[in-house]
Amino acid sequence: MVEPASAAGPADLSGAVAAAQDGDEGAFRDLFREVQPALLRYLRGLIGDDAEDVASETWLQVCRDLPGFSGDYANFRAWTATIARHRAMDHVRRLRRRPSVAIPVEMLADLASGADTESEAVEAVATGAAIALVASLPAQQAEAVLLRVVMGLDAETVGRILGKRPGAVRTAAYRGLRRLATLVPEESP
Amino acid sequence: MTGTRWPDRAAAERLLKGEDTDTPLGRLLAHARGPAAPHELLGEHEAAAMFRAGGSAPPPARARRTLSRVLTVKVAVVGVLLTGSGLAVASATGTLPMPARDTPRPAPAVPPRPPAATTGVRDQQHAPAGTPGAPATAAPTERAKGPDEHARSPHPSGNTAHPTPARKNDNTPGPPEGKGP
Repeated sequence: MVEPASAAGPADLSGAVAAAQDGDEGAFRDLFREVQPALLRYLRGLIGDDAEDVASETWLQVCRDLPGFSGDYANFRAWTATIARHRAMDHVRRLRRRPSVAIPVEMLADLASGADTESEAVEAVATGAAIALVASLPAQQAEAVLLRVVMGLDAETVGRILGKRPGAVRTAAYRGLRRLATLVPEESP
Repeated sequence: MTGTRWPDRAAAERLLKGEDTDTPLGRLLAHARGPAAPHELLGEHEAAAMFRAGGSAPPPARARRTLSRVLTVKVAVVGVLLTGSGLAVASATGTLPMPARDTPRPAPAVPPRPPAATTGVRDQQHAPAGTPGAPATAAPTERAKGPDEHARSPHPSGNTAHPTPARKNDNTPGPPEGKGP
């Protein structure tokens, strides 16, 4: 709570945001590499397999509207999440359903153990399984956890994105955590 | 409100911020925010192209969607091949139980039967509806199946191996029989 506006992760790319707004493609690529994985995971939790297409639409809009954007890197992450959410809602409206994300149940024990994810491929699978598990929560809890954990946004920022009070975001996220804890196996030893 | 229940606010915030990696749930969330995988960065060139075009570049976006569509189609084709190949292989090797393969061949062997009264009765029993008449008509109807089914056979070789004699026999079943006895 004492943290600055948004806990946006280790790197602060506010300089890259400004440079990208000035047309620096390298800076834009830096932003993409930092934000895209989180964006994809958030979208995967929301809409499943169509996440890549919607992420692509999101970046198209980011590129188009970037000159008019004002803010630092934390604001930029929140902004891209907002755009992604709108594009995802459009997508769901087109589909007329909430896509489901299959949970690889056999991954659950490995996820909780945290031991054998040394290789890149195994880690990627573990990440996908973790996102799928979060996505299995009721929609509001899932989105609160995804935005807070994956996008690295604080409760106030998530509240603005979702149009809710920060307290409601916290409640949804905490309930999601409680539910997740029942899904994750306890340590066996 | 959530103060009395786990996780309390402090514990929950630690989990959400990734400061707790010592519990199973903390490790699960650590995976959720794990390092970027190569496949997650595949769209970089496309995004850079959009950036260069000032966000007005649908061509690369379309190309991307086309790619994923191509992949989807590929998956669908593979599915079709998987279900279809069984048929293709089976029919190519002749293991597919096509009635056409067997019936035309025995067909020439049928003519001897009609003269015998017993077989005629048997034929009548086999197909009473189609051949209410004499046993002599029962045999031709049986053989009449030959050419139709033979024509349906997907094997050109099967059709050309013995086609002419089979069809001749089938097309002119009456006269030889009539003349034979």
